[in-house]
Amino acid sequence: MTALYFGDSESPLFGVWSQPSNGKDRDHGVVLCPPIAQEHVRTHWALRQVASALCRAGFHTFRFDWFGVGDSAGDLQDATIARWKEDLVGAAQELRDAAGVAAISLVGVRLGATVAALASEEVRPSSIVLWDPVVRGRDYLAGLGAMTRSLLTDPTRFWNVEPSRIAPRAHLVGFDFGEALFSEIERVELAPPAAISRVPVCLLRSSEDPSLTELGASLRDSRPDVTIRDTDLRSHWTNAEYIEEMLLPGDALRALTSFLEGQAL
Amino acid sequence: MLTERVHKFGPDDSLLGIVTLPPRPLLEASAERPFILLLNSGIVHRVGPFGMAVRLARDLAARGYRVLRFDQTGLGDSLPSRGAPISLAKQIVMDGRAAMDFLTTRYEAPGFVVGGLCTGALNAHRICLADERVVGMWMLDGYAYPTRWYYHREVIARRIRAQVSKPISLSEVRRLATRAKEKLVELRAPPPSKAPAGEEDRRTIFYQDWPAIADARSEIEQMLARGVRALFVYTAGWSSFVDARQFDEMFPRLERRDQISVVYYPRADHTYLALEDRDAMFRDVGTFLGTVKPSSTSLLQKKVPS
Repeated sequence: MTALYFGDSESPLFGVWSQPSNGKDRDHGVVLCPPIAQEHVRTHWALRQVASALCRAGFHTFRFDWFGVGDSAGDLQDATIARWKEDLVGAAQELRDAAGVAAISLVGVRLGATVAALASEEVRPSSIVLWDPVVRGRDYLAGLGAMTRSLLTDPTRFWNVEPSRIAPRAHLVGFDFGEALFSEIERVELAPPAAISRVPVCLLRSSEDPSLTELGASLRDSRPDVTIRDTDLRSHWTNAEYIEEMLLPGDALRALTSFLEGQAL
Repeated sequence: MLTERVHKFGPDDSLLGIVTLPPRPLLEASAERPFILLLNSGIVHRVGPFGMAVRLARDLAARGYRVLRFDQTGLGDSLPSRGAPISLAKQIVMDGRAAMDFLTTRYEAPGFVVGGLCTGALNAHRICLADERVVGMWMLDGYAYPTRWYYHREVIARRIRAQVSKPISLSEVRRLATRAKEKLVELRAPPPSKAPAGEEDRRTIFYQDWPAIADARSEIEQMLARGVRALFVYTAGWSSFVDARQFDEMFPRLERRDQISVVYYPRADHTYLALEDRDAMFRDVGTFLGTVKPSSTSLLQKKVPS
């Protein structure tokens, strides 16, 4: 495992490159695209486990943090979707340079999946896994806003609950998204699926979000070859009770690994 | 501009951490100040709950401090232990020492201040107690032992929360007072015997094995005698601590009490969900660090005649 900062020296990104660990090298890299904000915190361990499983299956993996997220430089409120797309292009190039792999696939979670889909034309992956992607930005923000209000008025969390305590709309679950990024995410629409380039796609669902059901149906209509996996794992992205629970990948691990193995034969 | 570097250190380079350095105008002076160590909170990786550790590291670096936030053995991106199983308490001390050894060699750190939240606070206590290179410590929701004030407040709060319309009867007051006295007798009882061998290894990482109050007092006094300065920050989200006055009830007539600062945030929750609460805590930690001397000068050593 090699941890490093890469990209622009003024605002470097944090990444972790891991090599195949089981004596088999598929000459194939997988870039893991995490969620942002508290979902990023919740999924760190899960994505480390995903990376380990993929390395055991013969893949090179590269986990990285977006600008303004995790260990990467910058503040979340200064991030833009365009910057994140550039980050992903840079991360994919970093893995290509470091590992010398012939092919790259993407695994994205939540908004990370959405950005991966939106950047797929530039990155040109050989396949892509969308794990509970954010389909409509406004729904995503509404869910975070509702959780924030719920948490701020939770008497088990605050001894002195102040019913009138209201966070600014861009302060979501302990993070300041900033007005500009908030507005930009609000306009995100993953549908129609034409936004996803013509590569093998796996939609991995660990949430009962209706928009994911719609996305699945839409993908099936336009992409008969799409792979859709519904996991037993429940990620509880919008349930305030789970906001500080670390996510374990459960059967999502096997589902995405087997999909990628099928793409990298 | 702040600089951040990723480092591996410890046995077989198994520990991973991020060093945040101050901007260039403050960098030279920062070498004279203690290096800051930020510890994991529970099983959250080194970014901290709601990314708090990243924000705090950068805030402190902007104030002229060098900061390491790292994953202890088996957490985040650090590897699990490969050696013979040891207790979590011993492991965190080894991890802390490995971090300090690395920072002493690589950055010539003249001393250390250790800080953490929740289990991180407990671990800050362990590392500070075990290693004299630590000259300061802050605990976010650290030691909390119920006291008279705690029971007084708890009883009243329960009555208010229950929204009982009728006034409390005299008999009920007596019953509650008796209960509080019984609790105090329990508190004054000797600490339970040590856990059987091997039991500690089975405990989850969430479990906080705080020392008994008498042991905690003795350990605090040891640290203070060494010249350590300490900041104890409490939130109302920590149900066992209800008022800043509770600290002096827990540890009355503490020697060298002037080396300790206590802050209580009645509006904040345990992991600082609200950004304004977090900013207030950052300011208090920054102010506290200004009181910490850069290197350890043991008060006990000073007493030894030359």
